[in-house]
Amino acid sequence: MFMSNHHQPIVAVKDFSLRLGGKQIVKDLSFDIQPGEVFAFLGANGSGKTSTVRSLLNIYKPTSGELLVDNKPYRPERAHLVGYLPEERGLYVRSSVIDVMTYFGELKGMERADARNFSMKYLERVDLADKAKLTVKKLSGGQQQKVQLGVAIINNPKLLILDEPTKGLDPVNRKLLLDIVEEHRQKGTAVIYITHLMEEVERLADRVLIIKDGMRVAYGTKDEVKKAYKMKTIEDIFVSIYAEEQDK
Amino acid sequence: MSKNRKLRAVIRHEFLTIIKQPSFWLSLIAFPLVAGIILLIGALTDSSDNSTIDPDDKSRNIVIIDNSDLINPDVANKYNVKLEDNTQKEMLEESVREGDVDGLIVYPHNLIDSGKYQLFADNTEENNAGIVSELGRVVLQQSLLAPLDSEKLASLALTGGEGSMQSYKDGKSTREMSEYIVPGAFLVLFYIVLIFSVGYALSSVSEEKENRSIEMVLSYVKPQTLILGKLFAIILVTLTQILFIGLMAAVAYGVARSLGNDLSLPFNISDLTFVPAEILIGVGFLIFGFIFYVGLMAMIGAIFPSSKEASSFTTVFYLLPAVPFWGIDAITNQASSLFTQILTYFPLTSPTTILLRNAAGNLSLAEGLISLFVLIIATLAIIGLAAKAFRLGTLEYSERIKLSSLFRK
Repeated sequence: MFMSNHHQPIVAVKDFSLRLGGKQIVKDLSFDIQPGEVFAFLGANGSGKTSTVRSLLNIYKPTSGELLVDNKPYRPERAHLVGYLPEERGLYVRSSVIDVMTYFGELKGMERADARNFSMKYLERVDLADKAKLTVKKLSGGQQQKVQLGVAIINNPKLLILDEPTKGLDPVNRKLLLDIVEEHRQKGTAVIYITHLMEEVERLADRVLIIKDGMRVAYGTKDEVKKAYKMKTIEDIFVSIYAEEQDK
Repeated sequence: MSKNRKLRAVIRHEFLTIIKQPSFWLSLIAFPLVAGIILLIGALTDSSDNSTIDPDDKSRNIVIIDNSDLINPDVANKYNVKLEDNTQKEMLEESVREGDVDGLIVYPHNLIDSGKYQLFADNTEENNAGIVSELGRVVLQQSLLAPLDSEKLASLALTGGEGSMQSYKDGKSTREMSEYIVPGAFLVLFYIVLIFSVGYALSSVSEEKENRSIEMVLSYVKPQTLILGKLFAIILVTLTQILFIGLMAAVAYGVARSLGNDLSLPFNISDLTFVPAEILIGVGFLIFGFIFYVGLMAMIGAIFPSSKEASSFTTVFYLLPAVPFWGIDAITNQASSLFTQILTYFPLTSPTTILLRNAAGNLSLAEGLISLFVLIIATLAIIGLAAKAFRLGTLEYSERIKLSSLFRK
């Protein structure tokens, strides 16, 4: 369901650089993301992926360059556009599941009643309806992760940013999560998908961006990237990019 | 509209998170409960010694042997006490022991010199010993005052009357109790808020860091909105605390009154003085002192990776407002000293110093307003720094944010 490049990109990053604490984290990074595509954002730990996402969401101030979401720099006032499942994730463990989901819905600009209704429907779908009034700390890790995905999609966002969304999930819940992502893609949501699991990239992604030391090293559709590297899988390409460093 | 909705959501979330904690209610109940228990014990102690004597009570058979010649027969008669000769002493003692006589009071020859007399009581009936003791005191006291021949004179002789003091120091009149009350109330309120409420700002921010929800929250809300929401929530929490403590105090007062305790205030409400300038300074420092400390705690919470580390760091910030009490003599008597002046304008000590001086009556309006201006500037700066610490806090989950990074552009 990847829509063509004729559409206005939902994300446009141009010549983005970021320095933090005197260290160059990202350098001259440019890419765009179209509505309805799953965009695999890949790189080793510390390569600058999370910092790029944080800059896109205005948590970090870019040193230079431009990061646009739906044509404008992102600000919290435009939270209705975005759903974010960060790598460092957590919920208010002393609050009830339904209260936490409703709260985040409100922070994204939803009416309280709408947020609550969505939350109940979502919890039924992921088989957690009976846990709605329990405090978050009483849920297992996997159950908490499902609640967090619900928080990310509660506002039916135009842009969904998922940082290692399946980490720690069992195969059943992993499939459930990937189905939900697929549904949102079908509805035209653009998904930034950060993962180290290359089979998920092969299954879901329309386009791929691989960065190394904050710089773009591979970018395009899966086929374009495979063709450029003359390799059959994204995993092989990823390994070859980072193996160079280990060889040195 | 969305901004207001977000602010409302933050306020509701923060408020409910705090008041749903059992520890909130435990700490809230503990304070008035301890005070109430002390009050109740006092009331019960008083009621257990409830030896008020009814002169018309003829049911008791109490006898006095007066070897001192100080007892007025009319007074003894008034309290239905029989006067007997010393020769009856042994027989009467035996009668008390046997329960035939309720009590025996023996005033000796040397009562004037020794001030001591003997009491015997049959305590089969609860509180009888208290009544015999009280009779011994009252009959002697009233017999001695009988020559005054006037109950009012006797009362005045007993109480010593009530004096109205106007004192002077260095040619200036010093304050009366009623003048301390209103400005002093702001100091008490500020300290209640500092001890009970300000810490919630720290725990609330620390929790967001510890549970890793801060990154998601800051993706959807401006740090300023988040801090403002926490601030309003803590104000609501404080009002809840004050309301609850007030309610508990009213209940305790009612209970104590029903047990016969007279809990009259040590001053007359009609004597209280309301000076507009003092109230302005009191309100200003109460509000901005509160906001300053909430901002400071929020900033510390954002700087440190865990609430444990943050809490240990805050100790100094709880001690500094207490410094003016340590130097209370200088604060109240040497307003122009360097020590007092530094504490007056330093934002971490100015709320308590100013409120203390405001109550003591040695603060000029100009000093108060200048110090308030400094505090407002410091409050704005601390909220700005707290917002920045929030941003940087998303970076550091395991290490403390460097203070220098807060001041870097």
